Amino acid sequence: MVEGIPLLEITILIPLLGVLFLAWIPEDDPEATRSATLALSLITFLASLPLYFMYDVEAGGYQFARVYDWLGPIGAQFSLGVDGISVLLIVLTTFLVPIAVLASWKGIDKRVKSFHAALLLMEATMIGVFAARDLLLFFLFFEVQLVPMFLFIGVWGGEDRVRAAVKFFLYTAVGSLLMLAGIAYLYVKAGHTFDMTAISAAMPGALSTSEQFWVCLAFLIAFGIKVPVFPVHTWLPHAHVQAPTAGSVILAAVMLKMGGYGFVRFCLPWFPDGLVVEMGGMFSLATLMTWLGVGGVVYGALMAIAQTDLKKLIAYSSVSHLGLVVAALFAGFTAGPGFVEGGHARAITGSVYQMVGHGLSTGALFFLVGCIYDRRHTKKIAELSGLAKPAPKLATCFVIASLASVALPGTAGFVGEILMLLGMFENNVAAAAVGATGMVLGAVYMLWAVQRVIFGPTEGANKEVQDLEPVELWGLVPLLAAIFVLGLVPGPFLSRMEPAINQLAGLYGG
Amino acid sequence: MTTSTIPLLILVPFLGAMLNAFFGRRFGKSFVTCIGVSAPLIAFVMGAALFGDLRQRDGMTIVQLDADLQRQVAEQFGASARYELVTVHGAHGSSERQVLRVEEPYEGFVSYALANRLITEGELETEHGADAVIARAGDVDPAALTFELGNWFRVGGFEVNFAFLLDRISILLVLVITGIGSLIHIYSTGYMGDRPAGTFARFFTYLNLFVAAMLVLVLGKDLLLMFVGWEGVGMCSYLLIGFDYGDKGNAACGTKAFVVNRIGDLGFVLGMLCLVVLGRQAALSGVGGDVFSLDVEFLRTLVGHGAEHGAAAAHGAHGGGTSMIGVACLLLFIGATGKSAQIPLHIWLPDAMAGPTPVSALIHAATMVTAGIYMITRLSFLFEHAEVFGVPVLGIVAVIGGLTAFCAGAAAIAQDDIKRVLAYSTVSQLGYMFLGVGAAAYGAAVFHLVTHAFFKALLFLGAGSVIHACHSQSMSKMGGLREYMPWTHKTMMIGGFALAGFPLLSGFFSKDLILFHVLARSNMEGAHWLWPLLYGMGVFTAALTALYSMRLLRLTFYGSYRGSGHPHESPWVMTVPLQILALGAILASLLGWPKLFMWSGIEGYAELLPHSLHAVVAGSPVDRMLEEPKHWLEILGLGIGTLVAVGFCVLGFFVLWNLPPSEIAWERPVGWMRRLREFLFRAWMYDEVVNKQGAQPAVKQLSYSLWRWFDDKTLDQGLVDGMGRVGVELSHMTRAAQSGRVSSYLRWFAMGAVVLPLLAILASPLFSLLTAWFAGGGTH
Repeated sequence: MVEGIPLLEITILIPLLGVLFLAWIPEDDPEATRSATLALSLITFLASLPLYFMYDVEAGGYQFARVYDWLGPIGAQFSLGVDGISVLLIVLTTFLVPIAVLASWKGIDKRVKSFHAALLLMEATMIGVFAARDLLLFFLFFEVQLVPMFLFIGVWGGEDRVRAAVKFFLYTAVGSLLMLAGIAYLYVKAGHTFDMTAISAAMPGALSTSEQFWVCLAFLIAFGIKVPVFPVHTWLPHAHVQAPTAGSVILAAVMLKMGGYGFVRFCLPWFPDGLVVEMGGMFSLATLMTWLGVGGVVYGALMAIAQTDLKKLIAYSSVSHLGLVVAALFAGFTAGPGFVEGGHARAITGSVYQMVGHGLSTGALFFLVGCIYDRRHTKKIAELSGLAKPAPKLATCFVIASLASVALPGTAGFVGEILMLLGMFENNVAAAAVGATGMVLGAVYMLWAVQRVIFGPTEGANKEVQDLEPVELWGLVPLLAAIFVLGLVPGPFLSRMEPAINQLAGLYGG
Repeated sequence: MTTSTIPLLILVPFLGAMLNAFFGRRFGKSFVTCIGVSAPLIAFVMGAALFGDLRQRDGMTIVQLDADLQRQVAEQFGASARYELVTVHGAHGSSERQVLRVEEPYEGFVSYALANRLITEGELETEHGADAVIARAGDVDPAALTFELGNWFRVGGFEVNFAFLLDRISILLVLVITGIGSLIHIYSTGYMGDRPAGTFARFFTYLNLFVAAMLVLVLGKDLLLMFVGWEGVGMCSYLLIGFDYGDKGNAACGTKAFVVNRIGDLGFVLGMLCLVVLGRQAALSGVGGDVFSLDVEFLRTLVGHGAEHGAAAAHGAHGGGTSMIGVACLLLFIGATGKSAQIPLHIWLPDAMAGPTPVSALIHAATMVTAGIYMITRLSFLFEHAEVFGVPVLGIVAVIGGLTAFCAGAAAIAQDDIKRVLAYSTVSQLGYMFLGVGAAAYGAAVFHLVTHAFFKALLFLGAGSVIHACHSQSMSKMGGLREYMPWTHKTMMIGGFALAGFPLLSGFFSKDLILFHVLARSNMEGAHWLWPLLYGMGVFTAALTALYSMRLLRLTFYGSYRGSGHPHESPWVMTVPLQILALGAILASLLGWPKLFMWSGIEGYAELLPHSLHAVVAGSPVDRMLEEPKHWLEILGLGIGTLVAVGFCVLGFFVLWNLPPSEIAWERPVGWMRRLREFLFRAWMYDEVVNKQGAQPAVKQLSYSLWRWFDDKTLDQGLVDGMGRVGVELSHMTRAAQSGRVSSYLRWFAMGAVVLPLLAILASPLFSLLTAWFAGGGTH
């Protein structure tokens, strides 16, 4: 019965056709645009749920797969399919877009229609990235989603929006260029195909060790910029500070995860020899990524401590959190002869889980910073103080989101972090120990921010701050609820990822 | 009572918290009071019922059954409900198995079992010369209930369950938490009574949430579940310290408490990671199948295993397994120093006094801060075997405990703020408990934990009553309150004397039991010189304790009133809890009267509480020694204890008593006394030097300069924007090439015709050279 329904195509098409649908709504009726977009994104979310529930955990592998002819002459196909990891990230995407609509309900009042059209276009391409089973198609989605985000920052952004947008675009474009070169090389070597299944079958044998090294390096830089990994992270604070709330939510929650997804999908399975081979007899790419990752944990946290802008602080906290996510993916390769297969699988599981967990908690934080900005028209920590008194609901949500961000047990972040640390510790004690300091540093910058913004005396304009309105609560409550659901009942989510990750880790078991 | 009551125990206060959080503000204070107070009370009643249940089980017999008999048993005994099947992880390498718990008397069961061939004669063992007794599985405690709510997560072989363990230690803590917790909740309805409904509801929400989290900590069977409670109580503590968030200082104190605790928690997490690695090694070598976890029962199996298989090459850096346990325990102990405010992470507790006083009584005296002692006691089977570089971890625990007890006790003498005296006193008393734990006197330490919970909660609540009356926390603004607040005075006198270790009060017996164990350790063959030193420090600290207790009572209740306004006795909702706690501070001593004080016939009641724990904690070498009647040491210990306590109380009474109050408050000391006072007032300058002038500015400065000069100026504006500028410059330069002059184009064409073929020839060897240098390093 289900076999006949092209579920993946539907989830991509609904937002895409939604863009056309929005054209019918008169320009002078922003309320209708918002409602229509909310409805469309909710329908998309509902449409994506069968993917999650009907995914056959026993069978594993890629499901709901479909192939259409696309660019026949060069062998590129419109090929879709999802495994447990993709399903999770797709549902995260479709879950967050309605929330992003609610987050911009009050903040966006110019070019409302274009804004929502861009948002829907972004949703379609993000789902496409996680569903593509053809490298060229993946690249297409990966690139196209830059456009709406570029517009988001450049059109609806803050004062310095154009510079931030250009920086964001150029940075990612450099990475994309390298990725395209890598894709082209793979295409030639793996038998003139872009089909990821075929390439997986051909790799890693199709490339020599040094070829693997170079192609892998290209992919690592491309996705490393996207995550972003220290030291190519400097576009992120600018982009976040200038982006409108919905842009920041989507950027932090989903778009950064494409980098991590790329590592998991391409770098880990395809270039195992390239990752472990030592450059000039010194250290391997895996070692480099592991230490850039855990270094990023400490570095990002220190940067966050230094910030005076609340949004920038949260942006740097992403660098810190995602540093661990990256390190956990690669730490298994640095173990040498004592390699623990189970440990590697645990670290990757935790890493993917934390991608989702971080998406939720940081999404909530950016949402709340947006609420604060809508009311106070400032994000300067020094100008905000004692918001708990005039706005208790906002304060409660902010404290919960902050505690989720510092991975308090019971929240999604804890499950992800403990699994990552556990897996890393089994293979690389030192990296795990350095990465674990994020626990302390995270508490320092996050709670210090709470102390200054939410607590303390309420003075001046802060007294007039309105509490959260129902439309904002409709966005925040499901977000916060999801954090606890993922923290307390991670079983079903983890079991969907398990076959994919075991297969991945199994590649190195022997 | 069934085992399924255990999660209900946690659910009740949690539901209370949720009801008050969502409906408290709307339904008003009486609703909040009703929900907030009844939640811990219901939990206490349930806990008491479970306690009765456990006491009954104490006499039960454990029967081991093999797998195919289980089904038969289940069929035959299904209706009688006089037995229970339990899964246990065997110790020392045996795999998991099912055992049957049967109620006493079991003769009926034996004949039934034999008749129905559930058990053969051969499986009956003779024990202690009795007739046929069914084999007792030594590693199974009959008075332990477990309940598994379900799986939390499972990745690979690593498994975490929502499993709870109610045994002799955890039930004790449950009763303390819910019992004393209930009294403090009742007291709070008076203390917080003048707050608006919203604030009032928020307070009880946090308080109930704390009780729930503390119960998770105590009941969690899995170390990771324990950690949920561990961090949960930290969160509630954070929220309650900064409860009056309008004041900048309060919020900062909350942050400080959380961050310092997190440093400890980092140790806790790393310790758990070490244990997981050990567990995986054990699982690989076939102990308990391929599943491994942080379940306490499973961890028990690691002890024997670590010695045999510890030499895992992969973790050579940590040496063998035994020292891997050592590293794990040391890291866990760092976690304990954070939560239980021991050196070097003690600095948050005095600042935690920013919270409302009932919070200080519940969280920062009676319950949460004892979590470290509880954790080490729970894991005593690991700590017993823990060595790091040949130094036993328990020795480190004892030294830190003794040192903290002394340093904090000295600091308590110089404080002016009544709550800070009690805060330093708490740090000091917790130090005693760690000293006890370090001397492997777990029973004595837990006994002191219980008595301390009574008298320190009493003292804090009394102090709260005084603060409520005087609207000041400064003792120099008090005095003479005896006349205004009779009940507060009487009850606090009991609390103060109990703290001072005055003979026959609870603090006397519990503190002296710890000191006695340390003394006995000094007297053992091959004892380290540290033990007598620690004993000396303990006795000296006892003297300090007596002095500051007397000073506190003197300054608060005697002399004449130095504050403003008219102090008054607190309402009954506040004084009745004080009276009950005072009674407890006296009667709690019955839980551990020494053998010396017992006459024949009731000897079995000597050291009731410490003895009852022997079934669950590792044995102390002193206990083994004491099986011989060696009373002279006990007499010596108690004698010294009595002399010191009485002597210094009297000294306080006759010397300090007669001085004018300002002298005792050390308001106008002179010369070196002044400097000493200043030094102790600032608690040895530790917080200032290490934290305020050390770590805090260092981190901030590092962050700021790194951001300013490296991230912003060098990376972003320098490298990234620099590359952009280079691009723009290059385009300017190359633009000149497109001049439109044909002669120029021809020149370029000619150059290209020469250079490009050359490049094509040279490119291939150049590229392979480069590749070989970069990527080939590892392959040749």
